[in-house]
Amino acid sequence: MTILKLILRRLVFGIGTLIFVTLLVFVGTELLPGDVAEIALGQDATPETLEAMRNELGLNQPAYIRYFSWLGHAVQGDLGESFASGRKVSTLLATRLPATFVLGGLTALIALPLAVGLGLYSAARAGALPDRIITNLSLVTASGPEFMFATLLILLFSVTLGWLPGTSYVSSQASFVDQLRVMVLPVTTLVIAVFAPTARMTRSSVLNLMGSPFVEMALLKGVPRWRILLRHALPNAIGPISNVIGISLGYLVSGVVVVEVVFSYPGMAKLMVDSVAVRDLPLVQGCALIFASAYVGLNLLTDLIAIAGNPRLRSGG
Amino acid sequence: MTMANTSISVNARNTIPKIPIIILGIWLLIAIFAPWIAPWPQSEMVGTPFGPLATGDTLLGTDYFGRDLLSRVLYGSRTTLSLALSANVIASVIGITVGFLAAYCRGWIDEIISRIMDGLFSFPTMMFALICVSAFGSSNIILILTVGFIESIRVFRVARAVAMDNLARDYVDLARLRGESTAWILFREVLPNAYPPLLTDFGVRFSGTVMLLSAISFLGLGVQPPLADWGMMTRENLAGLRTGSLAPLIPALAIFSVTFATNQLVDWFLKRTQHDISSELIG
Repeated sequence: MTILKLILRRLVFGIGTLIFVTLLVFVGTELLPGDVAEIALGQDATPETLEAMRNELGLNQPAYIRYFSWLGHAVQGDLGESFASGRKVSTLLATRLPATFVLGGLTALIALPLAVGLGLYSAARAGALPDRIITNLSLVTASGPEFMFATLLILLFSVTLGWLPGTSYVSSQASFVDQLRVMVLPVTTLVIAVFAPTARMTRSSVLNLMGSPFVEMALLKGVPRWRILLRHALPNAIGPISNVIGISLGYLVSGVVVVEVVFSYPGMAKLMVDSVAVRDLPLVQGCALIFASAYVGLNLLTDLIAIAGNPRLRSGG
Repeated sequence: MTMANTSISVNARNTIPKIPIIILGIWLLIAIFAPWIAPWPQSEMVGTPFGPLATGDTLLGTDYFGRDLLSRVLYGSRTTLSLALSANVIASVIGITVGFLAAYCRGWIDEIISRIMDGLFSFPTMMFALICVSAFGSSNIILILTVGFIESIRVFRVARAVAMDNLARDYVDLARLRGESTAWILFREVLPNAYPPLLTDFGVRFSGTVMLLSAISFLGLGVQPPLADWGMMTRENLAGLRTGSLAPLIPALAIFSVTFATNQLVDWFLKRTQHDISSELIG
């Protein structure tokens, strides 16, 4: 299989996932008791207004036509209007997206290099004290729900010590330092949540490699340990490690949802949870679509890195 | 000697770890006997909101509504553990049935099911749960079904692999020659032989199920008041954090005690048996 074919296959797979998500959300809307017009009109519903709104929204058309029309609009960036506020979904998303992007981005920048680095280190020195500490620590952090670490951090650094704010309300005029201070606890919580599984998976995938014949060969030749790790094992570990990062991004997405709620962080995940609570479906659809696209896109990226890191695939042979 | 062999297992004792067993056993007893153990009914106001620890009749203080926190944590074990158990059972039923069918049918049926499951597997579980809850609303039944379905994707992988392995064995050929039906072969021949890894997987998944359920309840989209659930209790008492109340932390610690004990137990079990499929799945 040529490299182009492989990338194309992943791309099709990613788009398939996105279509599946849109279908799931759409089917969900269909299953609701009553239709969108009844929900939107609520108390004001009379047979006439309902009929008018159904005509306006095209609800009298068959489901598959409505799905494709929604999809067609979504592709052009038109995600409809929120039931709750009547504002355009795309406008609402645009105001919240940057905040989530900063939160997720900062976490990934800190947690991933740290986790992969320490995972590598603990694989290289398997059984030594640092390895045992890292392994046990990751067992602890893997067992704690994100909101436990969040409450612990708030209790310690915000309530008891008073160093950092426990909620994320900050005016747009606030200084850069203040905006940064607000980020510390949410990012720390997420780093704790993402670090453990990533480090653990990195360690086990590299340890797998360390048991393979070419490493044994290098060891018998007398190559020093650090050289084996960096020159022999690491290039071969790029594939598995980028898979690990792909999985970690899943943890990150789940973590962001909880963390934004704990800290009242004004991001998209908080928006999504709030709109799920009031069943503001166009808004849920929009959020789900953005999260899914981001997730699929990032996974595609890690796949590409994995392909680039594999000489057999890279040469196209 | 390879480097991999020098890795020292953290929990390599052969005896069953006692502390996790004791913790889980105690929670199980509490969940069963909560109404008899709890000093107060779960929804009775017994004091002022966010009362401190060990005052009067309330050992762990009171929650945001002035209810006895200890009683609610004890009652909460019922909700949290029974929901997690139910979701896990549903996950096993769906996952094993579909996994076995895929392994038995092979060909394009297997291909289609596996591709769909692959797509679902990579999707963040929390997003999935949010979409389901927004579509179907939040009730305990929806919660169990949603989490059961999400976890069944993981069961599917294990079940399919184990069934593939077993279907290639002689005893299956023998059953076929005897003229047994497909259902008989899958559930009376393969299932009994496949159950050790499937049971391990059940344990591996349990702490994940507890965490996902609590997270959904924490978001206010799962278990609804006035029922007590550990995830929901953390959420409803969050406001007390600012005044230094431990009310939100205590239910969260209860969740941690269950998931940590389960993980320790599973870790010990996996290291003892070194079962390939499961250890691969939890990394």
